[in-house]
Amino acid sequence: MFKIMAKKLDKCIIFPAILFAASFIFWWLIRPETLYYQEIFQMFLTDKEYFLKLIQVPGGLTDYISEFMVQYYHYPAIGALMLATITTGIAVATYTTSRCLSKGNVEFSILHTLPALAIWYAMHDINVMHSTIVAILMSLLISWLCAAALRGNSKWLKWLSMAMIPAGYFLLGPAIYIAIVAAIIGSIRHKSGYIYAASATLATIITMAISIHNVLYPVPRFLYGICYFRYHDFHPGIMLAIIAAASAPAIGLLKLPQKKWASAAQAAALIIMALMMPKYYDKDTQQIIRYLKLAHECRWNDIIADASENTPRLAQAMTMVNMALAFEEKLTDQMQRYPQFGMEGLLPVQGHDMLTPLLSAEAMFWMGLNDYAMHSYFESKTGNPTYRGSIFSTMRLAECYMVDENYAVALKYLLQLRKTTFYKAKAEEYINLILAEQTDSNPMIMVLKSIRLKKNRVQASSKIAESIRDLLQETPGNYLAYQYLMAIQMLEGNTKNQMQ
Amino acid sequence: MTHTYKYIICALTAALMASCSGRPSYNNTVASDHLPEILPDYAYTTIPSQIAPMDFDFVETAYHWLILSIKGSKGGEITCEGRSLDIDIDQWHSLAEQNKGGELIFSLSAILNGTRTDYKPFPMFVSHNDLEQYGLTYRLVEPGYSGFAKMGLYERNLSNYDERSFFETTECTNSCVNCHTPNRTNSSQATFHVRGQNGFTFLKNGQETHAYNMKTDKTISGGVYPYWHPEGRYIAYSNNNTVQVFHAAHKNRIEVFDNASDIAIFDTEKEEFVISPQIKVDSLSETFPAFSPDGNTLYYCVAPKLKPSDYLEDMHYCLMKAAFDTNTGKITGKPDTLLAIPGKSLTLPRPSYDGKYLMFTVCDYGTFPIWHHESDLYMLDLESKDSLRYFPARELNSNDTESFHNWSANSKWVVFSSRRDDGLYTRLYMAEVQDSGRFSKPFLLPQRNPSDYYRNLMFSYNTPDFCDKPLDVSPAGLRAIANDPSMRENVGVRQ
Repeated sequence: MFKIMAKKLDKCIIFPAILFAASFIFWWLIRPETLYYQEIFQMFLTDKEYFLKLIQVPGGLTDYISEFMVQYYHYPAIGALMLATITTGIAVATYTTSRCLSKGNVEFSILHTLPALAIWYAMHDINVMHSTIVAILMSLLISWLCAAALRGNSKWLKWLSMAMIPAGYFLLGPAIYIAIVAAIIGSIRHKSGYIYAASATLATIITMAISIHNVLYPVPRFLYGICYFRYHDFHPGIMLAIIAAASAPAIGLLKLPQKKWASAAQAAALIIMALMMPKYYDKDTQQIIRYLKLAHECRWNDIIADASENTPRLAQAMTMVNMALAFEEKLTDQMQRYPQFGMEGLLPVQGHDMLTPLLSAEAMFWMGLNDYAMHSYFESKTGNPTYRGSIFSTMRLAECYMVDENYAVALKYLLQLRKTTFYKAKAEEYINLILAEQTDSNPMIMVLKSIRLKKNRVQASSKIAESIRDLLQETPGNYLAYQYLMAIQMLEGNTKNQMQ
Repeated sequence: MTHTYKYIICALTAALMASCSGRPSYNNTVASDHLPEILPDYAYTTIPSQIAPMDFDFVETAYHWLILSIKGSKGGEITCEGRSLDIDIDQWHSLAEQNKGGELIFSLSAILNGTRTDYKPFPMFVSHNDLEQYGLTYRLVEPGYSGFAKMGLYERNLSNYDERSFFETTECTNSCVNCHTPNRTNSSQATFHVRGQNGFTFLKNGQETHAYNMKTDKTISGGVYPYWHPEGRYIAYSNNNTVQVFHAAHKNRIEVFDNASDIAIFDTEKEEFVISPQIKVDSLSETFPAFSPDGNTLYYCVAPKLKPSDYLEDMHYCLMKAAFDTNTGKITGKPDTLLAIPGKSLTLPRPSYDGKYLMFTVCDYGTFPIWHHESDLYMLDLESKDSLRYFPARELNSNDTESFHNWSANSKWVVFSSRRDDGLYTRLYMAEVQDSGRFSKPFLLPQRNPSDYYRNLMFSYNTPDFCDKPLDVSPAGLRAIANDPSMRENVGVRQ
């Protein structure tokens, strides 16, 4: 009895356990910055209006659930736990679907982990939205229900499960293709339920047509998901994951050798694949967002230590290293130890994407270039292709407007931030200060007000060096401005100005 | 078992009743001698009878319950109460219609901790002038800098709160859309442009729709600021080479100006631009065209072309007028300066459709008044015989920006954009035109739960105009046009 139980446990527990552990360690310890990137480039609001706004387009529910989940990435361990649970859930749901599709018994095999591995692989692109992984899991759960209903005799259960497919398209997006495939395979294998599967497919096509007609998005995005990828483009990794999830329950019916060595080999293969995952994650991009996270936590020495081991290869990463050096008053002394990229690696000109403006914005914010920082944070907030803003940039914008003494706009942003989970307390603190007309009692706001640039220049984007010089003349003790001004002169080889 | 069900049903009913609690009881009533503090401030405004219910929020103190009574001076009364005020649309319209030319008296009471406070009633005047319009069109855009974020063109039914988007940049990524302009509010003839990789100028002319590529080798850009000729054959477009720069430390964060700009007349029948040398002068920047109601005059703004050594602060536009030949589509004779104000820049001329006034925006310099906090609206009396009479539209202006504006078809109402609420997010205000070019107190575009609505809205209203009916194009049709470059039609040039 014990042996039989142990054998069953072998099959059903070991593979998911490996997957869970590997995934958890990966997200928690190896790539936590990816979670941070997802967290700061969204702004999940806890009010009814936000929910209603999101669910208006196909995939809206997935978006809502994933954004709810992503806000908890604030704590990387919780984020990793959630992602590991979903990844494991995908494997388990694939297996249970497979079991319902089969006429006999099916053993848990490495084949059932393929969709989980595929989506894990796809997420190496930091702009793959985590709604994808949620949508795949939920679609697999619907697949499981459909396959179970087709195996049974209950007609109403069949209709109910099949009705979930068109509804699923609107709620989950095109990942529902996975359930359509399961319904078709199920009806073929069990030689019943053709009419249910056909009806479900037809109803889904009608739902898609109605969605396409009513919502303002180009047609292709309805076919591969409005909410799965940050940019308005086709992403092969996502499609691969959906195809893997659609086909894995059927592929999982294949009988692999039942020997112990075969199970061991499968487990080893799974571990190797999990170990290979970090290789697919772009080191340079990860370095930029890792530094961004550290900078937002003011861990300047950690950035410098990391950069001395992993020399930055991109200007954006160097921007963060230079900023860390400036904060530690080491910029002029140590900047030559690193590859410099001119102004692009020091204070880059505002890009129209959401990341680049954010990199230099922090230096501008702390230095006293309030209008420059405001510009950058705004570009970052509105540059998010999902149009969901950025929680970090919104908070900084509110602070910039407080420094600017435009409290009406600051309040507008703060009242929005009050509807978030992790920025709520800070927002309420600022709101109370504004209402009590005591913003100067906040040390950060008070200092930033006192050092903010006063002299105006038009065409500011091309005159940042002059503005920093103005800053220094207005507040000679502004050490950040001093560091940056010296660095600019060094980069320009202008030793005469440097001496002055 | 039956008893268990009974208890559950009773408990659920009690919970339901508790959640839908009604008016709280009060022991004493006090009368306040001042007007209640409400947002938006609708007291003493004048409204058209067709406007949507003027819902407002009470912001003076905390409260548990509000009771509102609206009594008409010519009869009728409606009441409304609750945690927030949501006036019934049908009741509102019949009361407003009944009191046309009269006034509505709003009596507001607030209940807090067993005390009911009755505030001093305030009036809202119902104009005898009808709106005669279906609604408004406008762009919603984040008040940002240089990136193309999400934006769209929207249509708002003014008799209720319905809003419909007919084009959003989610259709056509990395693009900018603006300047939806109907012909004297007639939505059967309308145009707007999309800039970006799949840019085009949309034109609806009766049943026909076109997506033009208006950039030609004889014009410096595609069509930018449009204005329809009243007969509907011609559209005056400015062609602008626009530049945006930023301030390092200034309350006006952004400057937008034209390195060069001209005006060209588009002939919709021949699908070609008619270029008149009088409004395409190399040394001048001509922009913001607008036809007079009789179609014989073209108003526009002009400033000397900016040289690299010039200061932006010296760029002052003046108002011009030029005779227009409706047969040829050409400017005839020499343009005249209509109005110049020393040290000021005059932009966005919009003549009323009855030909009496011309409304324009005045700022200290430049061509983009929305980012100038000092921008104000002015009126020019086109019927003054001896000397030109111009004056600030005092009732409309505030301490902050007033900018884009348009007239209703009967010239009895204006809509304009203003940043008076927070200095950044532009909102729409409407006002009645009264005698001698004066205005009633303007009112903010009504919304349901207005405080929440405007607080949560992260977009600015832009380029508002009235429309007589919904634009007859489907979003799907516009989507197809936007994403299919093969549907672009090139235009010719006639000099």
